[in-house]
Amino acid sequence: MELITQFRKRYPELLAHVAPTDAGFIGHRERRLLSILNKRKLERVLGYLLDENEFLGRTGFVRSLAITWIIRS
Amino acid sequence: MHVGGQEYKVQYLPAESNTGMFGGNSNWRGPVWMPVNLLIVRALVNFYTFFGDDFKVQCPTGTGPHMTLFEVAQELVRRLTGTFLRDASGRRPVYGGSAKFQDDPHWRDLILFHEYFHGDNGAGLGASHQTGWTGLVAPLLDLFGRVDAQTMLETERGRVMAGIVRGQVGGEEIGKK
Repeated sequence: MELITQFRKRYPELLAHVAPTDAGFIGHRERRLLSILNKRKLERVLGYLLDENEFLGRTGFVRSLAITWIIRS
Repeated sequence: MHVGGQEYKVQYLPAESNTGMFGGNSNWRGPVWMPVNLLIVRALVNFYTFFGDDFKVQCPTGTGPHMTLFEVAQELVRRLTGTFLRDASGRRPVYGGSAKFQDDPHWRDLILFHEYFHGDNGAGLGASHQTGWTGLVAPLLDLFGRVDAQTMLETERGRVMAGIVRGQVGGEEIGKK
């Protein structure tokens, strides 16, 4: 909590962009989460990240640049 | 991008760099790098402890089952560790086409922790002794071997970490005294 207070003092402009009362702000077991992704954005990011034609490697991992760049470029 | 009649582009490149300008032999435009993957696994687990079991995404997108974020993290770790384990044909993806490391009984079970891996087939590339970050695959196995979704979700983070250390040192199972 102390760190959050300090952070808010240092970056007041951020407060204009966060919505602590946004729906879904309180999570499981009353947990709080600071994140640049809300549920909707997380869903969209994971949609690309977990796509085997984009970032999810067939034999392993998530690549650092989407494979569709071959097709697009 | 076209400048002065010359085309410049950044494209997916699964293995070693095709230009000396960026990072020498290595490149960040396609191969698999363990640090990035570890950060993603950690983020998924973090999000899971917030969203819980109700939030599910399809994995892989378009074809797979709907999973909790914990299950997505597990799936990612399964793929990561699959790089080093023998596949159905008895080959370890990490050793690619290297017959000595695939077949020689003196070498085949000695695992090297390469710097990065081929984006399409998982073959080890770059320095073969990048143990510092590629070795992170070991704590990933350790974590998911010791902690199940329920424990991760319902237990305060500090107690999960303490439980892991107790397990590593004393063999105690998390949640059981």
